[in-house]
Amino acid sequence: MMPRSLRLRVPLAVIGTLVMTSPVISAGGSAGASYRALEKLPDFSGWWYLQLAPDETPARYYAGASFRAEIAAKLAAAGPDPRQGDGPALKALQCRPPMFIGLNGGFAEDIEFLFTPGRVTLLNESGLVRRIYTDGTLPDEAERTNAGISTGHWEGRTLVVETHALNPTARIGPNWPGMPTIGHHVRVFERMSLKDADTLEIVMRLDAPEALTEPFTTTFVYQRDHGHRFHEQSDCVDEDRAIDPGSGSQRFDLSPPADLPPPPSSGAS
Amino acid sequence: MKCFTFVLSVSAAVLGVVASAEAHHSYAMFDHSRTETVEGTVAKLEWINPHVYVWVYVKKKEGTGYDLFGFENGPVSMMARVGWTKDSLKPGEKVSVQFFPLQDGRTGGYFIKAIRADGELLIGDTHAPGVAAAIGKETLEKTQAAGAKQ
Repeated sequence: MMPRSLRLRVPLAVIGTLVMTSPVISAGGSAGASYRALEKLPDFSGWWYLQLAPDETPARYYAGASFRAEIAAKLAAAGPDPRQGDGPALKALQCRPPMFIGLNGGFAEDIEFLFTPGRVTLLNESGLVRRIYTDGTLPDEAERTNAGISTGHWEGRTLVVETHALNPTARIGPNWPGMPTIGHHVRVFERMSLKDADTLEIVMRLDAPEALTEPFTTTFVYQRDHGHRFHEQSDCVDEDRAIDPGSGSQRFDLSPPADLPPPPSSGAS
Repeated sequence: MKCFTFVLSVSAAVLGVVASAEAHHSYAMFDHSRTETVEGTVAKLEWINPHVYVWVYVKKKEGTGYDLFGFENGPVSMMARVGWTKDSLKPGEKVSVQFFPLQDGRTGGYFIKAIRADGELLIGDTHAPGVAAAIGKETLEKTQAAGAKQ
């Protein structure tokens, strides 16, 4: 067994070697390349939600997207309140992991950024995890994933991100059976920056040649969610009151919760 | 002209589809053409996803006894954003609830707002269809000034 004093010295020696040999750390200035360098980056900490007026939904950020004719026809046929969701396939779709196609969330769930040396991790409360490598690391090019492969770099105070290798079966719009998929060869370009201390902008360009006639650009605006605590968001829950688990059909289940107290005593309102 | 019409119809379709993206089911089960209000006693606040539910005992209009009303609300994170916590409504407290009733006439609907006995207002998910309009712009601005994030 290694003596205790040696056990301590070996890791220190390894760290020392890494510090000496790493061009990023020894350069001392590459944005986000070391824990010390992270302090110089803009403050993206905390939680963020998508800026929307009451009654608005993320739809407003997609105004002007021009879909290919066959996709547009499919969307038009679905209508504003698509019911193709009826059927067991609906719940199965809602139990798929989140898939990134340009919007990081921020509507029914908050998003957050984690800065570590050489990497920014973007997460949301629905379970999306995007690993954005800022140190030049290139993950396996062949592997398509739900979050895709993201590389990034800092241009001054702006985080510039490019993402590809996205899951081609990710759906445009809601996870309803029959909704069109985003397709292959999708690339997402993002420029993320603070407009003021509590406002974050993400300028996003979506290149999706199988779905769109031309690249689509929009600017998502996020507000810092002061005081927010983590809440897990999921549509994939057991005993969903809105969807029958057996048939998948929509419903409003008014079965009382098991632990409901008795009604008020007679005479009370 | 033909081209313009096509673009317009496509945009409308896309907006509609993306608009429904936040809901994991249709809102068609609720009657958005009218609202109802009931007064009663909170039975339970179910702080769950994908919808928070409010359960209220309401005295029957005729005879004795109570009807149990169930109200669907937004998801947990969105309700937290407008100021709710899992303890926002406690069993036994008196409350008045405005809602979009169920189409089928059962005792329930989609939550719009609640007013406690002391007059405090709790607003629902303002991004769900019709809720913001039913609450009213002036009231929404007041809740925003009080810290609600919409």
